[in-house]
Amino acid sequence: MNFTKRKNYFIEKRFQTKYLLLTMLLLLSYSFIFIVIIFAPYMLTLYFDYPLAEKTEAAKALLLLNASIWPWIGGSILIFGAISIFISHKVAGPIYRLKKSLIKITEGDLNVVIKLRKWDDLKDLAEHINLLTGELKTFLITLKNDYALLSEYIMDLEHAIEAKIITEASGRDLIRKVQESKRNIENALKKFNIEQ
Amino acid sequence: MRKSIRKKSASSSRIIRRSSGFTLIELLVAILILAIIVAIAFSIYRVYIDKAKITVAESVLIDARKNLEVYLVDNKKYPTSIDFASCIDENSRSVFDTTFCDQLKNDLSSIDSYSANAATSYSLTARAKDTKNTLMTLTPQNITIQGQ
Repeated sequence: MNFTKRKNYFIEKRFQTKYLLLTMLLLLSYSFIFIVIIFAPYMLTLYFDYPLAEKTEAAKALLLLNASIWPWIGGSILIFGAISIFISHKVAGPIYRLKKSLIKITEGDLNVVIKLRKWDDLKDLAEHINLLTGELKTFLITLKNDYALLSEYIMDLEHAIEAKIITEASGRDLIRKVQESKRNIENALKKFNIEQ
Repeated sequence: MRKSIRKKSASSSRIIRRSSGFTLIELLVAILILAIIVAIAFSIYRVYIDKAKITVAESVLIDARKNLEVYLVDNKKYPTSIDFASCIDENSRSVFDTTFCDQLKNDLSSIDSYSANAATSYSLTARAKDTKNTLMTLTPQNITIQGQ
């Protein structure tokens, strides 16, 4: 997989649409307030009974603004909307990757290592998840090893009982070995808080 | 036992599906409300733009009146007819200077008619640049704006 090249800038559609809309909402609100502040004095001059000379001046300024301001506002909303997609992608891209990796981990694949691109956000979160997967992997390896050992001890015990060669010393040795495995599992379990 | 497991998995899937922060619907509702406010504000704005265009037309007509008064002083009569393309009278004498002539064409949508009664009176009808193309009539005494 190529991690360096971005192919799809609109990867988490729902998430990015939300941020695009949020940006648009903020931009529209700012533009609206900005326009009201700029236009209000001229409109008020036209509304009240000012002398015609003053009214004409206000009217001319209003018409000049009307002719020049709209393309700028429309253009800036479009540009910032497009920028918001790029910016949200910086978060949405890693989130998409984290989600995919977490689904794999939930399904039981602990060999997943989350790799993020150089300029991506949420790198420390990805590292924490990698650490968690590592810890779970170590825990499961301990369990697996002790499971193998315990299976071996049970087999030995069965053989000894069948052959009737079990002595007190060999029995105690077996118990000691079982207890050692038990301690290993206990130590591994201590790390996790599974209070219910 | 199985029931409790099922219950747990159902609650965990609910947690997964729940989205935090603003939901898409909330944002859409906010945008809709803003759009309604903007629509109302825009209709008010258009009324004022029309008002501004009428005011500019009124101002240019008053300036035209001043120019015609100057013409009256110079020629002892108002021009019988004016060619508004070059702003000259029937004897090819200039009524308005070039700058004002351009301004007249710029600030008015159209000049419908001009009629004069020698030295005593004249009537100039023109239309403003607003959406309704409001009709305005200029006489030496006053200026009438249709609908006002």
